[in-house]
Order: sequence, then C-alpha cells, then structure tokens
Amino acid sequence: MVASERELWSNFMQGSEADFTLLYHRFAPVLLRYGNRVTKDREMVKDSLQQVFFTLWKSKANLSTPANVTYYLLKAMRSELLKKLSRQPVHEALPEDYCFELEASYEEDLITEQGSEHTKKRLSAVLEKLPSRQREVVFLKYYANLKYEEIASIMGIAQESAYKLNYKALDKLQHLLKRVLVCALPVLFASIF
Amino acid sequence: MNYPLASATDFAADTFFITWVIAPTPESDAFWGEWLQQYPFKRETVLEARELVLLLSEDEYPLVETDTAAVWQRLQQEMHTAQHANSGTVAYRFGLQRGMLVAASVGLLLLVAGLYLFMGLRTETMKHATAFGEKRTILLPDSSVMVLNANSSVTYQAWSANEPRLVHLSGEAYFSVTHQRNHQKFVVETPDGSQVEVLGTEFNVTGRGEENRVVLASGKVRLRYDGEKHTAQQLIMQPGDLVELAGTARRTLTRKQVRPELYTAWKDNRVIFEDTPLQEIAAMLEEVYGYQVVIADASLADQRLTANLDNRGVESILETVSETLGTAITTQNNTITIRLPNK
Repeated sequence: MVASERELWSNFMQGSEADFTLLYHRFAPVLLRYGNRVTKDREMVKDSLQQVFFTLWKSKANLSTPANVTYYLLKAMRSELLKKLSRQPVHEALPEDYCFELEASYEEDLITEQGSEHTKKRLSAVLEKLPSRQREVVFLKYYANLKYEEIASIMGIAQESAYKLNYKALDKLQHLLKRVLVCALPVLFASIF
Repeated sequence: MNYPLASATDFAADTFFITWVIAPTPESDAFWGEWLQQYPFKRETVLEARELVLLLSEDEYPLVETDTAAVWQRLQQEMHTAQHANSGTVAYRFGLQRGMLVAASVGLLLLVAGLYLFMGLRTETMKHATAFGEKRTILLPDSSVMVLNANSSVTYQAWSANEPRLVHLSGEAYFSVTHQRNHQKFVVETPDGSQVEVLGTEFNVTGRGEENRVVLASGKVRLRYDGEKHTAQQLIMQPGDLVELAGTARRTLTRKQVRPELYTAWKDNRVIFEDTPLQEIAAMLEEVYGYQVVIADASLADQRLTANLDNRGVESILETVSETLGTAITTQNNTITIRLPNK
C-alpha cells in the first residue's frame, strides 16, 4: 500500500493531513541531506526544511501537482537556502585541498581493517575536495536521481553545463579514489574531538 | 551515447545507466544483461562505473533521523499556531492558549519518547495524548499514520515482527495502516476490550466510556468484542460500515452503512453534519472540546442539522447551530446552554 508521490501530493492538496505527514517523512531526509551538502550550517538547513514544508502546507489550495515531486521540493529547498545565505555574511572559504600522504603499509592496514566503512569515509573526504557546485550536481544526480534537465533548472544553469560539471566531478573523484590518499585522517580527528 | 566506446566515467555520467544502477527494473536488467553478453570486454568498465554510481548514491549524514524528527515537531507547532491565529479572538476567549502550552509540552514528550525508541530502549511504552480542542498526526514505527482527535490518548509497546501491532486507544482516532509483507496484523483495542483487527486499511475508531464506534473507509477489518454474558463475538466489516457498541452490562450492537467521510472529516479540520440531531452535536462538543452542554428545551434535542464547516473551533460551530436552528446560545465558564429564543 505504498502510495505514489503524485497520489500523496494530490491527497495532501485536498486537505489530508495524514498525507502531509507521509509527504514530510518521505522527502525530509533528501532535503536535509541536500542542504547539508550545500552548507555546513545545520541549523540553517533545518530552518529551511521547516520553511519549505510550512509554505507548502499554507499554500496547498493554490498548488498544482508537479511532474516530479523530488525535483519540485529540492528546488524549493535551494531557493530557501539561498535566501538565508544571502542574509548572512559570506564565509564560504573552503579549506584548500589538504591531504596527508601516509606510508603505504599503514594505508593498506587501514583499508583492509576498515573495509567499506573506510571507503565511505574516504568518499566523504574526497567529496569535500570538490568545488561546491560539483558536489551539488553529484548529489542531485546520484542521490536524488534527477535528470540533467532538472538539475540545470534547480541550479539555474544550462543543461550542458550541468552535464559537464558532473563529468568533471566524476573524473576527479575517480582519480582521487584510485590514488590511495588517506584523506580520512581529518575526518577521524574530527570524530575524536 | 556510444556505449561500446564509453569509459567508466562516461557510463557513470549517463542518465540511462544511472537509473538502471539506482532503480533497476526487469526491463533495464534485461537490457544491460544482453548488452554485456554482446560486449563482454566492457564488463570491467561497467562494473567500475556501477561501483562509482552506487558509492555516490549513498550518503553518510548520520544524524538525519533526529533532525527529521526535530523539524517535524517544530513544524507541527508552527502549523498549530497558524491555525489558531486564523480564528483570532476565539482562541483567547475559550482559553485555548493553555491548550497550546499543553500541546508544546506534549510535543516535547513525544520527542523524548521518539529518541528513546530510536536509541533502542524497546520495552518502553509509548504514549501520545491530546488536550481538548487539540488534534495530532502521529507517524507510527511501521509508517502507519494515526490522527488522534482531541481528548484522546494512545499507548503501545514496541512491536516485534511476529506479533500483532497492538495499539490501545481511548478517545477517537483515524488510522491509515500500512500493509506489511509478512501480513502482520494491526490491532486497535478500546477501553471496553473490543478489538479492531486489520491487515492494512483506513478506518476511524471511537472508544469513550460506553460509546464505541468503528467506521471503515476502505479495506476490511475484523471486529472482536465482548458480547452478551461475556461471550467472545466477532464480525467482519465492509467499507462504509459503521458499527456501534453501546452499554456495558447489556451490550447492543448497531450496524449500518454510512458515508465514511462524515465520520473522518475531523482529521482534515472539517466538521460535517448530515441530518445530525442536536443531541449528537452536543455530545461531540463535550467529548472533543470539553464543554458541558445543556439543551434547555427538550424539543430541541431532536432537531436536525446538515452542514459542512471549516473547523475554526467551537464558536463557529455554535454560530452555525444558532443560525440554522434559530436557537439562542449562551456560553458561561465551561457550560454551553442551548435554548429556544425569547425565553
């Protein structure tokens, strides 16, 4: 009995609060994750999420059913985040690519010991190293599974640029993942302190 | 894209390929299976691309569940406030302000309770309760949704996979129950010991004192109840069925076909009366809003009313009653008196 996105949406528009609850619980995680990819300010991400759903609930009488609910909500989330970011002094200074290269033997131990857990940490460490727009495209493409056309529209860029950004990101990621650099180290420190 | 010449990056950037990896269908499985048989030398490349897509489709943001729950509480609060701001002075005059405080503390309790469950203290009993004039939507651990009407409470213990999902209800609630793959039952028990047993469906249950009522919107439910001389009875309900169990010593059962919307409208903030006697409306005002209602002229009790209202609280209901039936209504402290005019 899992209702489709569009079914949920149209029930919600007709005033069903149960469906609004389901809609929230289905889409809040992807919006939160998206926000946390775009900015490090977790409170701002939570505020934006709340605002997106509150606006949705308030204006349900005037909505139409979007072709792709994920796309629609991600777009709303982004404009909410931008609104909040523009009110703040800019401090997006990401640290320069910074990576320790350890001795091979230690690396190998680390890899075999930590298995896939390690790969994930490594992934988040290399994702950090991408320019923020590339990180955003990668999220929208692989986590949210959107079309390039939809990604372009969310980010306000040409479809061609969305594809190119993603391709560049992939190329770089593959390269970084193959070179065994232990970028997980800062992450490990962060989790200790 | 020219797949035979594509690199791993090319594959990993291709929407058709990505969709296969993330959300495979029998068709796309068949397509890529055949394609690999045709180009066996591309197997390595495809596997590499697949790994990359899978890795990227994951996300390691660990605290997302607590954040989701926290924002939901804040959102409910904001919606509640907005709703009562709409009815303006009504909220103040009827002292719903305090109701909001209660709502806030219940919200906090729910959050704490939610965290407990999240942290795996699974023998804990979960309880959700609403104050007079309050309504709350609750997502249960199995993704079933429950809308708890005012002056109601529900308790349950963490369910294990091989026993029924049992919920104790006192008051009124609307349930939209998810169907589980192992056909795990969902059971609502009311204070009189009756049980509504379902697999996955939508229905409304009321169990307050002697008043016990089940209305089925869709699907099928089995109602188990204590019959005369404490014999266990059961009946199967069909969509649109309303079953009422009245009395305690001598139980009487009434079954009729109704429009379920009339009985579930409250969950969407509407009040629907259809040829409803004033007496029944008075009972609803007492149960849901906590008033004492006096019908001063006996002849009024059976006057009937049909209306479809946006639920803006007691005042708007009373206004409609007085306009339609031409009655005089006075509210003093906690007592509403309904009488014929000019008396």
